[in-house]
Amino acid sequence: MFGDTLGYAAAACLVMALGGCAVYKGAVSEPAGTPSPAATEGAREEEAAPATSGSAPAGGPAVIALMEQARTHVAAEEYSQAAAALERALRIEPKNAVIYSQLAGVMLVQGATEEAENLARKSNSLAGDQTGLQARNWNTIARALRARGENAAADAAELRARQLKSISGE
Amino acid sequence: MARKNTRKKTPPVTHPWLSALWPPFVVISSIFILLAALYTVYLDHRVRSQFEGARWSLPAKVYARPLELYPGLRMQPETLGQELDRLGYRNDAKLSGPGTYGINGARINLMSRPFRFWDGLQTAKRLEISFADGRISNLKELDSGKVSHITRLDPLLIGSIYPVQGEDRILLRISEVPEKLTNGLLAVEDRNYYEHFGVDPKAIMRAMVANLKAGRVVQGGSTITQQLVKNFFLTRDQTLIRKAKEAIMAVLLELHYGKDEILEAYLNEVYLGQDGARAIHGFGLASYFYFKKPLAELRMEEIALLVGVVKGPSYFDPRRRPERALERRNLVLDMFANAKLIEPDSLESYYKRSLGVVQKPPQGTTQYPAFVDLVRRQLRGHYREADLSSEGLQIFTTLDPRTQEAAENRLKTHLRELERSRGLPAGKLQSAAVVTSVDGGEVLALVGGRDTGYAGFNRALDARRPIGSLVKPVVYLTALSRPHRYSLVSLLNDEELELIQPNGETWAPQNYDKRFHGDEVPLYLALAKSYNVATVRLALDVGIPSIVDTLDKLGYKGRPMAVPSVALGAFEMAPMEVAQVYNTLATGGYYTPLLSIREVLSKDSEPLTRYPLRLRQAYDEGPVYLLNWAMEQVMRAGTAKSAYNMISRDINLAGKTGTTDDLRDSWFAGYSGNRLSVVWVGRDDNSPAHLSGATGALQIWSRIMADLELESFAPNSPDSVVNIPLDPEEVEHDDEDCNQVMNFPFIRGTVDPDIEPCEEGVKRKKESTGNWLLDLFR
Repeated sequence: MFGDTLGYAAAACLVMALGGCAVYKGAVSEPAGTPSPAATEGAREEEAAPATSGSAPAGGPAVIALMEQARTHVAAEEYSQAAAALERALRIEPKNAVIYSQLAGVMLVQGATEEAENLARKSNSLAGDQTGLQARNWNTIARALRARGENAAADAAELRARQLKSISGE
Repeated sequence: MARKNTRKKTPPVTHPWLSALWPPFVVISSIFILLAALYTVYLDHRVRSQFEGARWSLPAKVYARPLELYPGLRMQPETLGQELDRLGYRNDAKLSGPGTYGINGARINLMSRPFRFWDGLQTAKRLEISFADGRISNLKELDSGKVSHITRLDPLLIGSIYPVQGEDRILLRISEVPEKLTNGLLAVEDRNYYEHFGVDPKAIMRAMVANLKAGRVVQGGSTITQQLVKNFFLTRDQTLIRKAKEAIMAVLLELHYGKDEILEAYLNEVYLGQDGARAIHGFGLASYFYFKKPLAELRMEEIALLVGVVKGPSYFDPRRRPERALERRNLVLDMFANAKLIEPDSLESYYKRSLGVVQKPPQGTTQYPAFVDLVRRQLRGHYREADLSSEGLQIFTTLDPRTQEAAENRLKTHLRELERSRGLPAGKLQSAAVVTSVDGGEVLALVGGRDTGYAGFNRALDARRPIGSLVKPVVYLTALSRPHRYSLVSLLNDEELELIQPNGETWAPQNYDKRFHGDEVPLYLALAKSYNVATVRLALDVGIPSIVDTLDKLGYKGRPMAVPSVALGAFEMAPMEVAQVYNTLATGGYYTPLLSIREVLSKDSEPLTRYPLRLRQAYDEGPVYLLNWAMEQVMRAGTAKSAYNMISRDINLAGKTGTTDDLRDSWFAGYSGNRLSVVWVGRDDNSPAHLSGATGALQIWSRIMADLELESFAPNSPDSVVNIPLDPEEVEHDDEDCNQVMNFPFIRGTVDPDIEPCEEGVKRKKESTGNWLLDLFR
């Protein structure tokens, strides 16, 4: 069974991860290969303070709105609703590493450890050089592995997370 | 009861002749009454079971994906206009109610319909949508003036899941039916509905008088309840016995059920038109059939027409007999005015309005039977067939109507074009197509054959055909996952090969161009040019069982027998199965089960099941990245380069052609960054289609893709990959020059030390070719 302690830990991690989306709000680039739509430029410039070094797309206003929605649902412990909002966001930006990372957190808190691990890995594969995001994903992977009793692998994942975290300076 | 009555009514015996007669009389009348009672019980049972059946079997409603509107979405105003037309929104710049819109140059104003989604109710909103540079540039809520970040339109109803084929209905609850319809209907058909007990003696008297006066039947005295009974048993004969039976059943129905229940059943049951073999029952369906919009959006004169049609759907057919229908509608409008449902003063203006009927009735409510077939199959694991057709479930699917229409139209048109231009017999070619969203694993479109409106053989799911060269990416991926042995520039041998098979026969694979290409073909080029012999040699080296394993990891569970011909795709797969395997390649090695369903809600919009995004890393990212690079060369310089006649060169694509023996099957499978399509072309009788992958399926594929909003295919380079600039010519011919430089990906730490990279950005000085003539062309 999915232990209570782990559940709380995962929930805490998730809230932190989703809180992180405020940080990512600033990043401005569009999904790969998409020219910036001229009309949204204005809105973007207001928030244009790159958050993490060389960050990958964090999302247009629609995606940010959906991530906010997801965060509200997570705070209300409505995890299915949160996942649905994040999936909506992914349909708009299917290569957005941050959304996958948050979805991984939502899966973890619901006890779906395999899904959580897979989504976190997918997030890493899209994360480019966002080391802070990668560190959070490795933490999610470590928690998922530990929940399944794979302690050695979990230790290794945690180590990876710590290394990446120190690189990112977060 | 019967016996008691008999005893009571028995007269006292006074005369002997009477006393001699009465026992048989009593016996006969008792038997008669008993039979009548039994018959009544029988009628009661029949009418009740019919009523219960009609009332409780609410078929599942199947919806397409809702259109999400947000700034940045690539869309032209015309495309949104088409989408709104498809949804039955009507052009009304004043936005007088939900389901209306107006186009004003680069702006569209609309009032959306309220809709209950998985995550709650979305209320009707007035929106102003601005467009610029092929995208939505701004979204404004007109009532509040606020900017909106994202909004969903109500999804298109694409079908219903019924127990019986050929029946089609949109069932409504009485609460969903506009009052002006129920009031209007009762004013015309049954004024005393809420007072009578199933039959209305006053109405019958009125009708008799009217009929006697006219000397023929001009008026019926049937109540709504009687008409419902008549509809249940679908008989049109007007015999007295039949009428008596209907009257008894009507009274029985009223004993068991409330007025609203009976009226609800009537509204859903009444026969309102005919579309070929399809009977149009119920106001819900009739509203779509005649006006292509939901009942809630009908205007008064449209309601009057529907109410008028009840009297004789064939006689007053608004499409075939518009003048009769108009006369009938106006008569009904008069009756509405008499019943004070409309102002008598406004009658004149109502008379002037046209019938408003759409000329071409929309195809059955199941417009995309092949896709709905997939939905039904994928629901099977979770829901019983009986529940699907009776519980009123609401199924939200992944179907993208725009993509589906593009796939259907391109497939149909181009099959005809192929038959015409290549002198093939008309109507013999068949085809199937699947389109997915790549990362989400959503099936956006599914075409089961060229007759798309017909729920026949679903080739996309059930036509298993040899896949030919579509298997080659699997062979090359298996090789590339042995990076110490194979890279994209490894030289393969494409010289004649003879294999002695276990049965003693010799197998000598041939190339499509009937030539051999020497023993130094770079691996990526052997794939791009689809060389068979080099591929078989490669497959034998990596081992056929490993190839079968790779296929399994990528998502095909069929496990073909591990024989050498596997390397050339001599085993059968359905288009949908191919899409699953290629989707794993398109996502960089992440397997996502292809799904057609997002959510299922109960009839009261309570969430029941969600089909969340699932994915699993199925294959190492490094080798998949290398393979995708080679599959891009298939499109740029290989067998599929004609795709760029239809699609902009700015869009990176990856894919593979497939052709089988004697040109029986023509395949193409490929993807951009956001869309994957698989197309098969062949014949149902498995005789030669006379088309290769490139001349047949690829042509349809590139036309479908050209209609979609494509993102370039640009996978992230994984950490395990290093890019080395090389001159492809050099790789091919051992040339010393770096005339053109391309980045070739390699698995880090496995790069052959003999490979000399071209210096990035610096092209080597061109030296003499040793041929004076060629030197002139340097």
